[in-house]
Order: sequence, then C-alpha cells, then structure tokens
Amino acid sequence: MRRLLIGGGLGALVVSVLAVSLAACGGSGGDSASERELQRQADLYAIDQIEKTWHRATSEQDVDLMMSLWAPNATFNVGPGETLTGKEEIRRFWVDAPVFQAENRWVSETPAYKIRITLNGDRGTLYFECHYVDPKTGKVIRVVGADQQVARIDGRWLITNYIGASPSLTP
Amino acid sequence: MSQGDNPVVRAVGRLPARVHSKLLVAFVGTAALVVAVGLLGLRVLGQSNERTASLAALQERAFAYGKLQSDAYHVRLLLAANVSGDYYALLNPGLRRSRAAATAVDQAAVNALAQIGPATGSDGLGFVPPAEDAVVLRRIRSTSEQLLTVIDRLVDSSHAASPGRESSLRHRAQQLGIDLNQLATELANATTAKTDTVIAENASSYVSQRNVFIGVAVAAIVLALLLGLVLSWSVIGPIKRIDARLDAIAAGDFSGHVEVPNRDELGALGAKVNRMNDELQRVYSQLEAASLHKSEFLASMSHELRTPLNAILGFSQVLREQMFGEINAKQAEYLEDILASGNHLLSLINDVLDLSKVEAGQVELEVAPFSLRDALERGVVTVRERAAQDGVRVTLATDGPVDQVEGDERRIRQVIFNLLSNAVKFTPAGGEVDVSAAQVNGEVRVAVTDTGPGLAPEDHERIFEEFQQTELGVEQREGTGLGLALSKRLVELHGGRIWVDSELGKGSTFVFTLPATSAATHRASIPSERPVGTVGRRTRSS
Amino acid sequence: MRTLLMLAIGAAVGVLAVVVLAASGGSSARSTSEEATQRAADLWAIDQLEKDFHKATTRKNIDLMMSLYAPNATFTFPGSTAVGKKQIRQFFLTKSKLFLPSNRWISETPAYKIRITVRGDRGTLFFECHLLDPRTGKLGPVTAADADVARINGRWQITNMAGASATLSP
Repeated sequence: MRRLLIGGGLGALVVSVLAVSLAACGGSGGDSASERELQRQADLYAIDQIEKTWHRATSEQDVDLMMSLWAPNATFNVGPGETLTGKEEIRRFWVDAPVFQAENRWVSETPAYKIRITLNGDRGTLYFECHYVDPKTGKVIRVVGADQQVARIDGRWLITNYIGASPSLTP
Repeated sequence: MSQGDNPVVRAVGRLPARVHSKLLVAFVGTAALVVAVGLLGLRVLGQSNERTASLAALQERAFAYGKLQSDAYHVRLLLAANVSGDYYALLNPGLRRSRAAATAVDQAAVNALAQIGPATGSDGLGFVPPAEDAVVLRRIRSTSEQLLTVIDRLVDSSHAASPGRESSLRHRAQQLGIDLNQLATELANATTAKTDTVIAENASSYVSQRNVFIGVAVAAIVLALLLGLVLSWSVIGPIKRIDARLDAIAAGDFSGHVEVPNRDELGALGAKVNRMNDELQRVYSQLEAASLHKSEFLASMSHELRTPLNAILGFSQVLREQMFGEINAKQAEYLEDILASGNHLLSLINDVLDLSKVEAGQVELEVAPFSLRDALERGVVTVRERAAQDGVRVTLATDGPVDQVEGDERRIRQVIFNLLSNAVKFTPAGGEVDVSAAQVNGEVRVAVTDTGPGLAPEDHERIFEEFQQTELGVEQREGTGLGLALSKRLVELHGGRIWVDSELGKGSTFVFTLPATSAATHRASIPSERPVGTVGRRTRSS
Repeated sequence: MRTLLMLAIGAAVGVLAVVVLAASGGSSARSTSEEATQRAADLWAIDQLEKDFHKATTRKNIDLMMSLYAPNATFTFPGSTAVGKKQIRQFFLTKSKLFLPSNRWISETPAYKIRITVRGDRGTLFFECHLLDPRTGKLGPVTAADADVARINGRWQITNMAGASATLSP
C-alpha cells in the first residue's frame, strides 16, 4: 500500500511535468486549416481587386488609380525587348498610352470567369482579359490580356511584373 | 507559525512512508524534473534540426524552380514580342515588326523551350521533387511540349501559312506561354512561400519553444526547491522539536511532551522520547524522595551520634588528665586511642552532617567581605605545626588585589583547611606545600601545591566524590573521604569551581575559584533544580 | 523562511499558470484583423457568384447556373417571378435567351462596377451583364442582375434575383 502511494505520487509528479512540457511544446501549432483557408480567400479577393481597379482606372482614365496598383520596382513589358522598370517610367508610359487619352472613352470590361489567380504566400499571379468597348457603338475596340506577377508588399497586393497578351474573343 | 506548522509540511510528515522512501521520492522526483527538462530540450533541438534540414531542401528546390521560372518567363517574353493582336497596338501603336524578326524570335523561343522540358525531371533538377511539385512539373513539361509543337508549326508555316492560320497559331502559342509562365511562377512562388513559412515558423517556434523551455525549466526548479523545502522541513521540524525536548529533559524539566505528528521514523522517535521522559520523571521523583530521606536521616543520625560521642570524648579527656586518679601507661595509651578514634568519628560525623545539610538544602551561606589573605594565613598556621612535625615546609604567596573577597568566611576557611591538611598529610618529609592566591580572568583562584606522590588521572574526578580516597589515603587510614566532596559542594555553593592538576610522582595542585564578587546570599540549591547527573552521583556515594 | 516558502509556492503556481496559458495559446475575442479577413473571404465568395453566373451563361452550363441558387430562391424577370430551383431552371431553359443555342455570347462585365454588401450571413450582389457577340465583336444586350445572397450551410447562394437595366458607360 505504501509503495503504491509512493509510486502513485512519483508517477503523478513525473506525468504532470511531462504533460505540461509536451502540452507547452504542442501548443504552438499556429493557425488552423480553416483559418489558413479564410486568409487565402481574403488574399484571393485582394488580388482580384487589382483587376477591378485596373479597369476602373482605364474606364475612368485615372492614371493615379492605375499607378496605385504597381509595386515600386515593378517591370512592365511594353514591346519586343522593351521593358519599363519602376513606377516613374510606367506612369510616363500610361500618361501617353491610347487608353488614357480623352478621345478614347472606352468601357473596360472582362469576362470575369476567365480571371486566373494563383497564390503562394506573399506572391501570386493574375491573368485577366481586357475588353475595351466603345460605348457609342458597342463595339469592342481592343481585346488584350494582362499576364502579371503580384506580391504582397507592406500588406498590400501590388503588380511586380506585367506582360501583355492578345487573347482571341472566345467563350 | 513555523515551517513545521505549515499544513503542506505536516501533510508530508503524516504520509505513511519511511523517511528513506520520502527522500527517495524527492530525489527521484527531482531527477524526473531534470529528465523532463532535458527531454524537452532534446525535443526542441530535434525540431530545430528538422526545420533546418527541411529548409535546406526547400532552398535547393527554390533555386531550381527559380531557374525554371526564369526560362519560362524568357519564353513568355519572346512570345509577347511576336504577339499579333491588340496588345502592342493598344500600348504601342507605332510598333512595326518584320517577318524575319518574328521568325528569329520564334526560333529563340524554340531554343528556350528545348531547355525547359529536360529541366523538369529528377535528372535535370538534381533532386527528386515531392509529389505535389511533380504534378506541376509534369504540367510544365506537357505545356512546354505543346508550345514547342505550336511554335514549330509557326516556324514551318512562316513562309506559306495564311494570315488567319498564323494568327490562330500565335493565339494558341501565347495562351500556352501564359500557362507555362504561370505554372512555373506558381511552382517557384509556392516553394518560396514554403521557405518563407519555414523561416517564419523557425523564428516564432524558436521564441515560443525557448519561452516554453525557460518556463518549464523554471517551474521544474521551483518544484524541485519546493519539494526539497517541504521534505526537509517535514524532517527538520520534528528533529528540532525532539532536540528542544531533550534539552529540557537534560535541564530536569519533565513536564512536557514532544509533539511529532509524523508517521515515519521521526514519529516513532518522538514517541520514544516521550516515553523516556515519563520514565525519567518517575525515577527522578523516587530518587528525589530517597535523597531527601537519606539527608534527613543522616542529619538526624549525626546529631544523635554526636551527643554520646561528645560524652565519650569529654570523659576520656577527663580520664587522661588523671582528674580522678592516676592511670598507668597502658591505660593512657588506650585513652589516647579512644580520643583519636573519637575525634576521627566526630570529624566524620561533622562532615557527614555538613554534607547532608548541603544536600538537604539546609546550608545558608553568610556572605560578607572578608580577607582571603587572613583566611589563608590562619589555615597555614593551623597546619604548620603538623607540617613541621612531618618535615614539610609550608609557604604562602598572595597577590595584593585578592585580599578582600566576598563569601562565607567560615566555609571558605573550611575548604582551605581541608586542602592544606590533605597536602601536608600526603607530602613526605622534606617536601613543600605552597599556597597561593591570584586573580585570573575575573575570578579569584586559590591553589595549594604539594610535592606529594601525585594522583593518577583516573583519580582526578573520583576524589571529589563522597567516601572516595586514593589508595594511599586508604593505606594511611587517615581522613574520612568526605573532605574534598564537602569542599567541592561548598565552593560550588559560592559559584566557584574546584579541580586538581596532578601527575603521579610529580605532586598535586588543588585549585578552587571564587567569583570576584560573589552573589549576596547563596542558598544550597534544592535538589529539583539540579541536573539529574548530580543526583545520580549522590545516590551512588550515599 | 515561511515567507520564502509561500513565495516559492506562489512562484510555482504562477509559472505553471503562465506555461499552461502560453501552451494553450490563450483565447481572446476575435480581433479586428480577423473580422476583416472573414469579411474579405465572404466578399470573395459572393464575387464568385458573378463569375460563375457568367461562366454558366457563356458556356451554356445550366447545372452550374442552378448551383448558384438557394433551394427557395426567387427569380424575377419582366412579367413574372420564378420560385424555387425548378421554376428558375425552367425559366433559363425555356424563356431566357442566354441559354439559346443560337446565341453564342460571351458574358462579361465591367467588374469594377460590381457592388457587394455583406452583413453576417446575408448580403447583396449587383453586377452588369454585357453580352458580347464574338463573331461581330459587338455588344448585344446590356443588362444587370440585382441579387440577395445568403450563406446557407456555409455556401453563399442567391436567394432572390431580379433583372435590372444598365447603360453602357464607363
């Protein structure tokens, strides 16, 4: 009986210490899967906003709004072997670009279901089509694709690299 | 409330286990805590190692996929250069391209694509990719192959194809290029993200695990200390209480019991001390009563013996003085024997009476300042005649400051006489007896030194006991064996000490001390206030 | 010494409490950032309804279309209201031009004009539908959809939808 008591007391002591140790170790597991999924959806939504802001900027011809989408050291491929680097060069380009000229008041829209987003940590890719429609005639003036790399910089998702594309009008 | 009264300590004390077992539990418990902390440390180290290893693998993959992405991006740029739709027209309306340039770009794309396919296999990568990466790598390979096919057709048809067919092929190539670039980018991004996650996890994990480790280590140390404190107090507390009780018993206090609630060896020890206390109290009471009866008996008997003895001595002296007629030589010799024996007996009775009075607490010192020098001189004078007869020289030397002391002069003189008469008695002819007095360390020290035969070490204590004499003393059939015992009691009544320094064949020095200023009045202490040992000795000597 | 003992007991309990609390990670009310994350995730989920709606109409996928509606959803179109998934399916297959095989439109939208509100498990969704004929490169009908949405069994679905007019303008 006495040995049982001693053994029990000793066992309880050791087990409690080990339990506290292991619980302490295992307790720092971090976010749960559902929390990570929630964060992923929130990030996808934030990246998706780049498309909306882009088209609002081109539709409303708001260069400042357009420039708010670019990362400070972003690169922008505008022609064969011609790549702009940094917001200053990119802004100068947009100011002169046809889509921001007063005579070209186009509606920028997209088949949103074709938007493709990938997301890994603080980096991702974004692809969307841009259909520039002349509201006076209802005719699609330009069909282009935007193929971009994006990154979360200081908590905001911004374009770090952009290459244009020319998709065909298909469903 | 002491630690022993702490409920936790008491609870540990009450545990029905031996001290040995409790200590074992404490040591094993502490060892378990150390092991737990050690295991935790090992686990932390192990996890850190795993993360470092996974990080190295991730970095290798990130490097390879980064190169793949770079190649895919290069292809994508080349395809963009040959795009035929609205893109450059929208951005760059003035741009014009030549067919030769387009063909050159297509050829460059073919060359670039030729690098991508082989780079997606284990051989090209230099490692075996994990399953989820392998899926993407297969898609990259497949896409690059499709793209290669399309561009090959473009290159082949560049001389003769219709504009419609070329446009269709270019759209197809572009879409595949976008897919390829996105797949490669996603693969690289995913690996980079995993690397970032592992690095972040590493950092946060290090901090959290460090904190946990420190927390557990501190908790373990505190628990171990707590365990040690509680256990030690459950042992020390009872020992202290038992020690205090033993001190009280040693001082003659049998009135209390020690309380040890432990259910271990200490509890048993406490119970035994209590039983010993009760037994000693019972025996002491009996001894006290017996001692009192003895002293009363001796005092009474001495008085009753002295009365007829005085008559014997008185009438013997009258006869010896021939006041009632002449006596012959033989009668005179016998009368001398009667007188000598009677005086010896009287002396013995007086000593016994004094001793019994001291033990019965009936001696009251009459303390007053007196001249120690006078007392010593009178003592020397008293024994000088006998000394001169025996051929022994007696000298006296005193320091100035010891002239006046406080005490019962009659009793101190009695002590001095005892020591001097002993010294003269045991010093052979031609020997010396030196008496000295000095003040040493705040007390007056009187020493009587003789050149007698000295004392064996075993006699140094014994001769101060009642009726104890040296062999020489017994042979000389002189003395009562009570003088030194009485002297010891009287000196101690004054608050002093008495002892002898002696070696066989080298003489003896009997020393007694008196406090420089004695207390006003000393009464013989009552027996119950004396240590048990004293009572025991008296009992043996009675 | 007794104070030391009490301190030691207090420290031990305190340290253990801290360790246990640290291990459990602590529990506190949802932070503002967590609420913002949840809101963004909800907006993303509702936004998918627009994408799937246009994918379903472009690709003539009636099952995909019907997966967007709640069991008791209503669909109001000029002159009538379809109630329940069965009636809505019938509407798309028999009365709507969207699913006519002869109409090979690309359904697209100026996505920046999409309006979404969300409050708890309910919300609203508005988007324009521009039907582009790829053969001519010209827009056909330009309409809009105004919908109530709700989270049902964890999925956002349309509970009520009505057609709305829209003008082609930036």
